[in-house]
Amino acid sequence: MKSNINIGLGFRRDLTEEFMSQKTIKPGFIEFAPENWIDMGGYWGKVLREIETKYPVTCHGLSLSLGSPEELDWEFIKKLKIFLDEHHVEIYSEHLSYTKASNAHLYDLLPIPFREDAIHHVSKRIKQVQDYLQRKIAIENVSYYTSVAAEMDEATFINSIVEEADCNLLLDINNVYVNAFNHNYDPKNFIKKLPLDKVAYIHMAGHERVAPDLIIDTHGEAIIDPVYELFEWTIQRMKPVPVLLERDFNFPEITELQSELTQLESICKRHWEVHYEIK
Amino acid sequence: MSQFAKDIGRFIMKLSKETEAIQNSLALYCRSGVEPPIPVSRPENLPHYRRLVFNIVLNTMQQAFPIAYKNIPADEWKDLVHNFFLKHDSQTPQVWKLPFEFYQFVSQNNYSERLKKPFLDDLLFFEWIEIEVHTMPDIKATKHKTKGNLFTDVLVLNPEFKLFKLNYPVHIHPPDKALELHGDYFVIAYRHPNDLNVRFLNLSILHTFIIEKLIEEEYTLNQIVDDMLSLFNINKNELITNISTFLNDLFNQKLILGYKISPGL
Ligand SMILES: [Fe+2]
Repeated sequence: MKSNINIGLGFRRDLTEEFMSQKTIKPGFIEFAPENWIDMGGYWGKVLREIETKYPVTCHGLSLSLGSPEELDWEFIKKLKIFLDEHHVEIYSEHLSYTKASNAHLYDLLPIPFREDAIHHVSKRIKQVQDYLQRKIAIENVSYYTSVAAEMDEATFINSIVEEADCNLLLDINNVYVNAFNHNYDPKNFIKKLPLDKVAYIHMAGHERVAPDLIIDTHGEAIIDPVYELFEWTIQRMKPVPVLLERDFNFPEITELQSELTQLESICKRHWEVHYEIK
Repeated sequence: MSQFAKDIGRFIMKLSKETEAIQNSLALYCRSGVEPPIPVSRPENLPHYRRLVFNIVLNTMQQAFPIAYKNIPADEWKDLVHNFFLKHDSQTPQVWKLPFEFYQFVSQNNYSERLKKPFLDDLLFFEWIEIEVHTMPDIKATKHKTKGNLFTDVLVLNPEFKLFKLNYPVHIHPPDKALELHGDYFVIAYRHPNDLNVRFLNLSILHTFIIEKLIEEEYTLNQIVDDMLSLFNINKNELITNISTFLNDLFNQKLILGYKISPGL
């Protein structure tokens, strides 16, 4: 990615034409979930090849399951490496969670117990994957609706892993907001505790409040103002990194998506262009 | 955390049996609904995990099998997916490939009998094949030319296909109608090189025999005809007319791409 200000969007199959024509929407880069594209030929394989001639590409993994108690899936990691290399993927990120346990995939993000042994276990796995892929992974702070057998707070857990695994951080600002709301802490204090110098990528998204005391991270709504505010507060404390707008469900008009991208861009410009000259 | 504790931790780096059991029991809860005996800060939110996880599997199956979904009562379908998710350990890290595991689970556990839907295995298989052929990795066809002799050259097939047999013609008829037409149906599904969409062709036994020979890309049509004459009691002229029509059709449909160029040429 050439510029300091990069606002991207996750690839959606129903937006293929819009992404190709670049008339109604023009993100700075496009994020793919490698699991949805590995081994994919035919029509969609062709679309992927065409997209990557027009946009820089990042990848956000779903099933690596860094937090699983069991062995890493090396068969999959081999395919992943080929995919990342073949498609010139600039950033590869995964979730700090687990999606597989007792030899079965669950395809969703379960919270890892915030515990000492889990820190070492997960760090070791991240290192193994990084060594094999020959690149750093950015691990994402996930939203969680209950903590599980926790022996420390979330920030300590994340910090320890980033340090021990020597990996990068994908900071999902919406997830911080969601977790702060659900678990009753101050989001800014939380962010202050994170290693912001290790942030390589940011996620922004909308969410849904399903009960007076519970928000679910749906990626199905527009970003709300307090999350924009938290974003603006955060980026003043760190170097410029690519920012991704996540929207997976309940798709709005394309103009609305583009205006969200534009809003993110103008916030970034306000802080990052002033302090960091674009080369 | 003290430096000493960190060093020890890094040295051991093993997940404790307790943490492992906690993680497994949360995952199992998502599949079974059995409350996990673990300390959680907001137990009232656990059902959200179960709901979110199950919805992913339910949606995946509904999208992969739209015809089966429409032909099975909603509660039975939901039960079926529930059973699958509970009893089957999903192996693929790629959720879009999970429908194949679902098909295998359903057919291996005789759900077609239990649900009194004899066509179910065939229908799930047929719907899966459409996904499989549509998404399969690109395969390079054998080197070929577009002009040649139908009888003396070796023909080159479009390699992006799947040949299979059904007992119910769910590829032609709605399930209820297919149910009355039990038999042997040979079908080839292939990816059309122009629009990359999947086409299905119903094949007679004779044509299936020819396709199977063509797949080997070793025999000329003359050799295949000789083979057939020795195996089946058929009139040679009629056979040649029939085959010529059939193969010309396959050329038009882009299932045959051309004539093999011999190595070295
Ligand atoms: Fe995210």
